[in-house]
Parts: sequence; C-alpha cells; structure tokens
Amino acid sequence: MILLQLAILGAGTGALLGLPAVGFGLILRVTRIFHVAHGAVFLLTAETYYYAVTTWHFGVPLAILACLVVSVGGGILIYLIAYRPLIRGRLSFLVGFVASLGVLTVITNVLSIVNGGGFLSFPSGVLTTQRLSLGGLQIPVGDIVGVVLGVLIIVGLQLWLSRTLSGRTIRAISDDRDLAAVYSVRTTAHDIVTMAVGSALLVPAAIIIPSLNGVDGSAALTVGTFAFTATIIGGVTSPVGTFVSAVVLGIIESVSVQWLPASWSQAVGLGIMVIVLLTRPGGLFSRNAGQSVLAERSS
Amino acid sequence: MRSKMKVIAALTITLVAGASLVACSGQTSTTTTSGSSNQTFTIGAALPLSGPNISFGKLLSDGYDSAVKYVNSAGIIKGKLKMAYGDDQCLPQPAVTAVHQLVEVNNAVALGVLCSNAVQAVAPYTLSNKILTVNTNGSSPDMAGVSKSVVSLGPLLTGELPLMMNYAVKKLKVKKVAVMYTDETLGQSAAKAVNSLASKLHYKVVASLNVSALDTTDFSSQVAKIAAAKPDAVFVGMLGASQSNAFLTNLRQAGVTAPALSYDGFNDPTTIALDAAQGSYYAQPNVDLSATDKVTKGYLASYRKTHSADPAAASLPGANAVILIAEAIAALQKSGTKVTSAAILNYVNSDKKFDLIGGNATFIFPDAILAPAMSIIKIENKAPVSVQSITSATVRKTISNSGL
Amino acid sequence: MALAYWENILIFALIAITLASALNIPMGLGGMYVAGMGALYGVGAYTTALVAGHVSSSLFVTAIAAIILAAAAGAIFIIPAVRARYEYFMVASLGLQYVASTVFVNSAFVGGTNGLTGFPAPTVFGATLSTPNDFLIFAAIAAIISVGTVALLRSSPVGRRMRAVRDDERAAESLAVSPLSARSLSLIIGGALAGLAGCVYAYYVGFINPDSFDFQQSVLVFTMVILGGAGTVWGPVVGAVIISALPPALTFLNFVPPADQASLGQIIYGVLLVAMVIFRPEGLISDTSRFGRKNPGRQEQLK
Repeated sequence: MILLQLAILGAGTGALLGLPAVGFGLILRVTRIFHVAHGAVFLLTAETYYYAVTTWHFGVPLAILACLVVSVGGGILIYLIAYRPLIRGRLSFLVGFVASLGVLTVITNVLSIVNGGGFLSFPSGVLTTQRLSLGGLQIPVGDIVGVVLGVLIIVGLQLWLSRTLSGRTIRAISDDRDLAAVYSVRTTAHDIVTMAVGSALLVPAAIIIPSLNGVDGSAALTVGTFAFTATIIGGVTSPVGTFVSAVVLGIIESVSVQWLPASWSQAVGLGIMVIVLLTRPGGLFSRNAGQSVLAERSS
Repeated sequence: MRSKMKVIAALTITLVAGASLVACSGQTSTTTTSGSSNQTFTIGAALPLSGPNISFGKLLSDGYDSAVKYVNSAGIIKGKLKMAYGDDQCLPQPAVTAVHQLVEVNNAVALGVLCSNAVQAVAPYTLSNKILTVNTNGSSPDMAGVSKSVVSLGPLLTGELPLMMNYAVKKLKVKKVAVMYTDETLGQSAAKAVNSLASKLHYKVVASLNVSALDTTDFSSQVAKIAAAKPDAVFVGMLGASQSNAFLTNLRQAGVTAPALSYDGFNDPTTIALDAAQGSYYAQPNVDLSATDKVTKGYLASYRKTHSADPAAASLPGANAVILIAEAIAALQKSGTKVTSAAILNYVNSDKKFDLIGGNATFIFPDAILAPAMSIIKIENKAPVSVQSITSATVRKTISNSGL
Repeated sequence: MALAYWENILIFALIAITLASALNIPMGLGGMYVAGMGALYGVGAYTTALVAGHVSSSLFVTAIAAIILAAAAGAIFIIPAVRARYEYFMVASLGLQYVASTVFVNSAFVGGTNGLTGFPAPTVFGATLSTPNDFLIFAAIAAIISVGTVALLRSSPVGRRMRAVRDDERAAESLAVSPLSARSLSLIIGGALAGLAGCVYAYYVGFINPDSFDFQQSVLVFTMVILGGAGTVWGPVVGAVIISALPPALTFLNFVPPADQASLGQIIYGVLLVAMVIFRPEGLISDTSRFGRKNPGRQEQLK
C-alpha cells in the first residue's frame, strides 16, 4: 500500500516536472542550446505568481496570465540577448552552455537581491489543501491536475509539431538548420516560437509546485537537473518520450525511498541517465535508437 | 603567435595594475589611528551573502550592525567598533579567502563565522594566527573543540536536543517519534542524537527519513512514509528554514497533525509566520527580550530607536558575538593590556562570565561552548512563546549528562 | 598584511590553474567535455587526507597516491567515452559527478558531510611545510607540472594523436590512430593532474568536505577552460586566474551596500560569462583550430 501511495505521489511530481523537461528538450533540439537557465525562468515565474497573489492582489486567472507573460517574455529575452548572437556565429553547444550558465547566475542573483533570497511560502489554495481519499490512498488534487494537464498539453504539443506548418518547420530546423536556411526558412522567428513554447510549458509546474512546497533559490537547479535528466533518458527528439520518462523517473525516485535514503534519489535518477547514455545514447524513445541525433550532426 | 603573446601581456598588465590598485584602495580605507582613546577596532564576519543561504547571512549582519551601534553609543569600550564582512557562501574555500580578507585587509581583531563548514575550514588559519573565531550559529556537535581559536555561542544540538526531547516526553506525553533530517552534518547528528536518547527517555523512533541538502522541491514520498508510521511527534532536523518550511507545509497537507519538534533552526521569521509551523516546539538560548539586565535593555532600546521594531531572534547570535568581543576589549583596556587579537582570544579562553543579550553566561571548557539559559518555545499565533525556561546551571548539567 | 591576502588568493589561483590545465587535456586536446573534474579533484584531496592521516605524512607518498587514485577515477570516465560524444558525454560526466558527490556525502570513511580535518602537514625530506610561503611554492610546482604537461603533450606525437581524434575521428582511425586509446589516455592524464590539484588543496586548507568537490566546482573549472581558450597552453591559465581573482576583487566595490555586494559580484560574473562567449567564443587565447566554432572552415574563408 505504501508503495502504491509513493508511486502515485511520484507520478504526480514527475508529471508536473515533466512539462518543464519537455520544454527543455524542445529548446535543446531546435536551438542546440543546453538551456540550464530554464530553471531560472522557472524561479522567475514562480516568484511572479507569489507577488501577483500576495502583494499585487491579482485574482488567480490574472496571476496565471502574468506568469505566462513573464515566462514567455523571459525566455524570448534570454534568446535575443544571449543565444541569438551565438547561433548566428554558428557556435558549438559548449559556448551555449556557458552562456546559459551566465544567464542562470544573473537571474538567480537578481532575484535574491529583490526578495532577500529567502524562502517564499505561498498562500494555500484549492489545489494544495484538497486531497482525494481512495481506499486508504491519499491523492493530492495538485497531482491530479498535474497529470491531466500534462497529458493534455503533451497531446496538444505533439499535434502542433506534426500537423501545423509552424510545427513542421520547427522540426525541419531541428533536423537540419543549414538546409532549412537554404530553403529560406526564417530560423530566428521559429527559434523565438520554440523559446516561447518551451518557456510557457514551465508555467503549470511553476505555479503548482511552489503552492505545495513554497520556493527558494535552489529550485532553479533542482528543476534544471530533473529536466535534462528526463530529456536525455527519453530522447531529445521525442516530447512524449521525455514526458513518459519524467513520470517514470518521478515514480522511481519516490519509490526508492522505501529502500534507499532519500538523499540518494537524485543520484538514482542520474545513474539511470548514465546507463541509458551507455546503452542507447539517443534515448529510450528516439526513432534511431542506437545513435545520438545531436552528435551525428555535429561530427 | 605574436598576437597571442600580446593578449597575454595585456592581460598580465591589466591584472597586476588592477591588483595593485585594489590593494592600495583596500589599505587606505582601513588605516587605523593609533592612540588609545579614539582607536577603531574592526570585527570581521564571514557570512553567506550570496547563494542559497543568503537570507541567514542578511539576518546575522543585521544583528552585527545593530550591536556595533549599541556598543559605540553606550561607550562600552574606549574607541569605536566597526564591522567588515566577507562573503563565504557557506563554502570552505570562499570562507578561507573571506577570512584572509577580513584579517589581512580589513585588520579585523576578532571574527564571527556563521556556517559550520566555514568554521572548520578557517580554524587552522585562525589558530595559527591566534584570532578569536566566534561560531555564531553552527549547532552540530562536531563544532565542539574544533580548535583553540573557536568558541561556540550556541549550546549545540548536544545541549538543545535532550532538553527538547525531555519536554516532549514529560509535558506532551510523546511516545512515538518520527525523524526527518537533512543528509549533512547537522541533520545526521540530530537524527543520531534523537535515536540515542530514545531508550533513556522511553520513546520509540518509528520512522527516520532524510533528504539531500540541495532538495527543496518535493518531500511527498518522505511525508507519506511518516504519515503511515502514525507518530505522536515529528522531529525536524533540517538545514535551513527553506527546507523545514517546505517539509512542514507538505506534512500538514498530508494530514499529519502531530506537533513538530526541532532545534533552534526553527528560530527564523519565515518559519514562525508559516501556517504549517503553528503548534511546533523548539529549544533555543533564552532570548527573553523582557529581561531586565543592562545589556538586554540597552541593546533593545538602541535597536528600537533606529528600526522601530524588535530584532528578529535569529539575528541575535550576531549581536551577541559583537557584545562578547566588546566586553573582552573593554576588560583588556581596563587592565591596561594592549588590545591585540591574541589578547582577545586569550581573555575569552580564560573562563570569564559574559553579560549577553538574554542574560549572562559562561563557556564550558575544554570545548568552549556557551551554556546560556534556555527556553522551550512554542510557535503560537505566528509568534514564539516561551513555555519553559531552563537555567544556565541546568543546561550545563544536561550537556555533561546527555552522553551525546 | 594585504600582501598575505594576495598570497592566499595566488595559492588558490595556482590550484585553479592546475585543475583547469588538467581539464584542458581531455577537453582541449581530446575533445572530451568532462563536467566531472570536481569529483576527480575530490578523489585527490580525500586520498591525500586519508593517506596522510593513516599511512605516511611524506609529501611524495601522499601526492603519488592522490595522483594514482585520481587517474584511476579518471579512467571511469572512459566508460561513457566509449559511446557518448559531445554534449552526451558532457551530460554523462555530469551524471557521474552527481553520483560521486552522493558517495562523498554518504560514506563514513571520508567523513560524510563533516569532512576530514586534523591530518598532519606534509613533510619533505624531514622538513614540514607549514607557512603560506611553503604552500605557495608547492602550489606553483603543481601548476608548472600541469601547464608543462599540456605544453609537452601539444608538441608530442601522443598529443597530436589526441587532437587528430578530436578534429576528425574517422580520418584519425584511417591513419591507424585508435580513438578510444587516445581519449582514454587524455582522461587518465587529466585525472592524475586533478588529483595533484586536490592534494595541494587538502594540504593548504587542512579541511575538506564534499562542498568543495561538487557540481558547482566542476562547472567552474569548465568555464575557466572555455573562457581562457580550450586546447591552448595559456588559455586555461588565464581563465583560471580571472575566475579565481574576480570574486575577491569585487569585494572592493565600496559603493554598493555590503549586503548586496556579493550578489552583485555574482551578477557581474554572469554577465561576463555571456559577454565573453558572445564576443570571444574561442576564448581569450585562441588557437588556430577555432575550438568554439562549429564549422572551422568559415573562419578561414573570412581571412
């Protein structure tokens, strides 16, 4: 019973953190930037929600809108200021990684000057206080919302990528940026769309998780680490794969508490990632299983 | 190739020029005037002023600054006190650099250090240079007897935990305790202490769970296990208010109503204001701001004048570090001894009584741990309420009898 | 007095130079982006503390033990190097770094989070190293060994083989160069030098715990090499000096409120990182191989 309970809680957390992971994967796939600043945008969005609800007294819908604006705007700004010059200069992913680290440092420290760097505890809302009881199992409403929202958004994202022109263009860019440019595809515009969509995917997690637990500066790294772990395990080319891996990873990390000290759970996730990299470098859900897509292109 | 050499040369010149410029500006700004009546003494504090523990650093610096203001206006020493800060991010290497800066550039005569790993990292240096290092907050038992240059302001977990658990068993009738701790020095030793006190105080540890020091996002699986164990009380040995707050929030949402017990880590404004923390208990040095001794009253009056509010209890260790050092300086001046960092260290190590905020106290040697009067605090209506006071003598006895 | 302050910073800068040059061998010469140097550095430091505490306080014994064990730990990174390349290898090495950090924190024999302290100071031919000047000389020797190894490798056939594999694996293979053995060698040498850096650090500070050998440390060394210029002899040296001197230098910004000084310093550091990779992506000291560029041909055309 306790195992089932742990698995349910893990799946909820995994689904919530899975959306930022899918955003991370999409950005990595299209721009080839290892966007570790994604976690900083998460923090920025979470704190926006906090101030919107507590200090500015926005209603919940308006607060969610503010979060969307901040996260999408933040993502696009980061792209325009830090990433676009790099992509134009046709630089390797390494410098992109360093630039992203720089952005992460700047955002987290600006936030710590703004709010003193302390812990923000969110006012409790419907999502956080209510739990369904099902034959001895406790299921937080926040987790249910996370899973349902996650599945809906992933289905929508998959439809967008496969059925619409802009989605297919983005996939074309991610397959071969140079070739796309030859066919006069406006790569910058599509990069911006990617950043916007990737950052928007942060919003549900950035609202629900801090509402449950509160938030402080360290969340940026935790969210970022989970995102790249799930992305690498699932495979960069597969948003569904990333999401499924995130849920499975959430379950494994949660259930492992039964046998291992919980401080090992992050190492468990990263250990799985290393094993996946050794056996199927392209990720568990990628089409060409044996090879890593990005590495193919860069050689 | 030639252009490469040019870049190197240019860089070297810039660096050397920058370094010498910085070095000069550093020296000129800290020149101390000699002459006994208007001498300025600098106290150095190594704190986390960036990174995840920044909120602690800021609280403590408020304590330091306000106490310096009090000491200077009350004329406790001949001359003036001044603070200098170094950012250590609660990491060993930055702590060493920060302390070098404080001593060698800012000419600090004594130091206050917040984080336990920083205290340990700077101890070899402060020992060989004979500089008093006040461990303001580190509560973990390995702070006992770090080196002859370190004194600890708190009674450490070994003093706090027996008092807390004793109260829980006697007054709250607790029989089953669940433990949640951060997997690092402090948490591990707290968990160990709660386990080893169990047989003596007749309670059972029904669940013991931990979390990595970096994780503040999710505790749902640990909470689920604690809920399943149905404890009478949950002991929280977590590092920092962020983790404790997140954990308590999770715990209450999972429907666990058992009170939380803790060490003075709960003494943080955000925890005291947290809905989920109401009804929690913790042990801490007595910070009875209504105490009538001269120092407490004088300090409070001075603080209220500039802040129009009471100081946060969590900032008081910084203030007490300043007052301790000031009293040592004053005593040296009175006896006509030249005030040097070695003389201050020597004075504090010679078993004297100090009048601090919250009452007087002495150090327990050889570990150089202060045994102040303590209180058990209950968080009620978003305020800390003292539910039991324990005298300094009882604290001394508990520490030597705890067997921890 | 201020001289002693700069001496301390210089010693840390020399340790950083040793470590950055160590990373430069797998990363700059071998093309293996190792984001786990913090773990190897830690293996060196822990070995030093344990050997000094339990076996011998001779500097030579402890340093050699640290170098050998860290080289062995470096060899573990060969496992992901077999299949993973580029960012995949980087991510795998980051994963190994996390696993190593967890092991440091949870293993009693290395002191867990308490770390290790109180191990004896090193002795050389009966004399004990104790003053800052002694450690300055020790750190300088370590840095010279590390930078010297990079310089030697660059002009030796072994180093040329590493660079050939980095630049074009298939071409190198067709010239009978084994990519795996070239990569493995670069990882082992890099690990050995990181172990040396860890030895200097452990002896100089006299206290070690997992905080100094974590993910952040790995990322810091990584940025030193990229900022300075990977693959060059002097690039990582310059990167290491700048990154270790920056935070202390920023504490002299007297015009900001002291409480915000440190955060401001971090912000300046972040902005500097972004500006550097935009304006000098190949690093401050550039190499003809145009390391930062995805497409080496383009630069040549522009000339």
